[in-house]
Amino acid sequence: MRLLSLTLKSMRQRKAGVALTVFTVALSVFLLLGVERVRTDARLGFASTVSGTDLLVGARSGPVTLLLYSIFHVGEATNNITWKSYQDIRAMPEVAWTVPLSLGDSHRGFRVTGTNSDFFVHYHYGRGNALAFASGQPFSDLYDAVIGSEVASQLRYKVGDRIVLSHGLGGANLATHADKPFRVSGVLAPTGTPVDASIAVSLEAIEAIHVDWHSGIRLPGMEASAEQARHMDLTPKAITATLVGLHSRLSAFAVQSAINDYPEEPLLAVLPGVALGELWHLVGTAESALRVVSAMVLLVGMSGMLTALLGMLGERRREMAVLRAVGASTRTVFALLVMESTLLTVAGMIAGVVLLDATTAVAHNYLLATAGLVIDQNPAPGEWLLLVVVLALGSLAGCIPGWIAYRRSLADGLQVRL
Amino acid sequence: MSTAQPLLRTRALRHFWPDGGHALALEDLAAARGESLFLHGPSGSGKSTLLGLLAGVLAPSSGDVLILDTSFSSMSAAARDRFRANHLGYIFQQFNLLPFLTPIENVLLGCAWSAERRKRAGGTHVRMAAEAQRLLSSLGLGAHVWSRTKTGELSVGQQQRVAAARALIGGPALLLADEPTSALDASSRDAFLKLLLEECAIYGTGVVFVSHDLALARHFDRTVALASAPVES
Amino acid sequence: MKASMSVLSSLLLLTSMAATAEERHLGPHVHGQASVNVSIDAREMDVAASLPGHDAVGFEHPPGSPAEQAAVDKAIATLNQPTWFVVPAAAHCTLASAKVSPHGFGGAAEPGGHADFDATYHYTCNTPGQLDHLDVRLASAFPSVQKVVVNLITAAGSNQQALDGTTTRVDIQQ
Repeated sequence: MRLLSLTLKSMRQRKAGVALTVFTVALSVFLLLGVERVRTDARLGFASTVSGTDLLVGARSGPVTLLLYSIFHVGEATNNITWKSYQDIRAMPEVAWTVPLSLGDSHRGFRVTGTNSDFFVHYHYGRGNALAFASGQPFSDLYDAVIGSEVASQLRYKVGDRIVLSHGLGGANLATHADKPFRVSGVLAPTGTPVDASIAVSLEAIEAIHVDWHSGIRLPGMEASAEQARHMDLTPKAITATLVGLHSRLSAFAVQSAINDYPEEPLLAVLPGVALGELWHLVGTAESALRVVSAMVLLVGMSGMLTALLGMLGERRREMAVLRAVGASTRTVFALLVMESTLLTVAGMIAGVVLLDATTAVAHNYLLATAGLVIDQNPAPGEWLLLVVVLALGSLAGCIPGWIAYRRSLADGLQVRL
Repeated sequence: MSTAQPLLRTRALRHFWPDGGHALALEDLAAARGESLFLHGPSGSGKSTLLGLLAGVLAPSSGDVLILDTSFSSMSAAARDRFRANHLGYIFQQFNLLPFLTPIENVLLGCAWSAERRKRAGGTHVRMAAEAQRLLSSLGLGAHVWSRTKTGELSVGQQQRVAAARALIGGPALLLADEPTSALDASSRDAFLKLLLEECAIYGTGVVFVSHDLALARHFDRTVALASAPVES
Repeated sequence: MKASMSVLSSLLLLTSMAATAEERHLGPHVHGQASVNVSIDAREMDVAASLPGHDAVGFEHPPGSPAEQAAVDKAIATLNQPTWFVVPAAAHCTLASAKVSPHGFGGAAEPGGHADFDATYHYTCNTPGQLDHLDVRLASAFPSVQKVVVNLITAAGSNQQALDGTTTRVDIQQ
């Protein structure tokens, strides 16, 4: 009789135990790979907060600082880029496009970004995804605003709603730009990036709401109405930072050093990926924590799996003794036990991977909307190695009772009274 | 006692249990091919130990067992396993069938690990299955019984016959039986023994049958009272 | 080549706007640390390496003896044949041009008083899809180099990988 068919028949006899063992293995694999995917996807998602942008340019500070205030809206710029320098950068022949970013205002705790409509074309995230509109469209009127998904969901805004921006970044007694209300022209789809928690308006709009302000206060007697502001010169004097796209990536390092050496104003150009890498390095403890969780899940999952497998194989002791008594060699008994634990492990692994894929497919949008986490269905790079480890451990689990059966004297088998 | 065609010989067998104190010395035993031996002794007289030694499952402390002129003490454990699979059939007191297999599959297990016995049982799967069916029928188990899917559902007497068929398939040279009839009533016991010995005769299989029930002795060629004397170690 | 020409023109554009054309920003100069910038666009690959004079030849002043001159020549020759930069054979890349420029080994003192070797290379790759990693063995070509910082920009974005000790592999995500 073929060993495999014997194993399968024996397993059919123990359906409940087999199902439970496969389920335990599946759960272990699910947890193990799940945590690993969250870990790698969190890092990848972070590393691709900005993609498709060749250079990020701001006033000279540090790469991480620049990244924090311009992309992550954390902290504030110490200096701005003058409009003239911005024009010089735009005029460089290698530069294909620029997206200006002007920060400093807020709305109910959400940052306002002054930019232009190229933002919706050129700001990419993840693997080259452009911003998508859940509803509405980019700003067309001076007092139009586009809100991120989190702003929309938390404040329950929709296209057509009127909002008033605040000067500065928070606090209840903040000066508002109540005289120049904005209309929500569009709501962006969730991206898992800081864009979700921001409001985009045109650079001119930022200029317009500050046209009668000076040194942070509204000048008495010089008020300009929303209508009047439309007819004034709304060319910005400065912006906070700019995203730069190049015709050819080959010129990236040369343009970077040209901007860094720009003599009229101390500027800083960074490669976004490099700066993101540095920042991730700083916040990398989060990843280390996940790694620890991963390791614990591995430990607990594998222990559970081994316990289930050993329990299952213990049930076959009597069977093994019988086979041994009718002439099966110790090697055959060993092979049978290892075959069973391998079969159970493989079945559990397949079930676990299917379970994980199904879960990520179902939870993808939920995770993106609630946690800003983009969980890919693509296997994480280390996954194959983990699966090999699981398989090896599973097969090894069969070796333990196999070894016991090997050691046990045959007399045991001839007097089986289990 | 025929010595021309020796099937089984023991030489000065002694067995000491590891706990010390307890030891067993066995008188030399011999059987010719095809001979059936009834081994009789009260409980605790070392019957099971002797069977263990004859099957090469237990290693004697001293002395030797020769089956078909092959000495167990000269063989490795793996070689003894192979030898046992090829030449020995064993009927257990508890039958030890796999309940999830069909009766036929259980019988076929008897020759699953021996190419020699497979060959003698027909060689191909179809022929071996036919032989298993024939054995079961000869031992008094009709097709309506063995066509049932699970061995576990059979009665004790029916399982007894499956176990015997498993030990006999492929015609081993020696059949060892350890009180296989203790669960049967007197009339079915005699009927079963008769069928069993008839089958053994077909293959020329020698039998060593161990029991405490002297009433069975009349079915066998020879009766040996197990007069093992406890010895001081 | 076209790309570098236009970079040159923009550099001129920027410098012409500067009132003081002499002004020069000092880049980082860390002894024991070399930097390699790699940019890949379609079939083109630009590589720029910069290495402190200290690590290339052991001194940072104009060569004062035939031995020192020989050291500078040897460093230039080593950089000119970039055997330290290994591209996977499957990518079928050919070195189209190489240019090595020593700074600070001439007569006039350079700002900052340091001397460097800069080298730029241009490769053309027939199967750039196979360009999944690079081997940067600058540290074995110049044993005094302890650390090589590689900046990489590809279609998949940019990143920085620091090579310490014996590591030479730079992974490329396409």
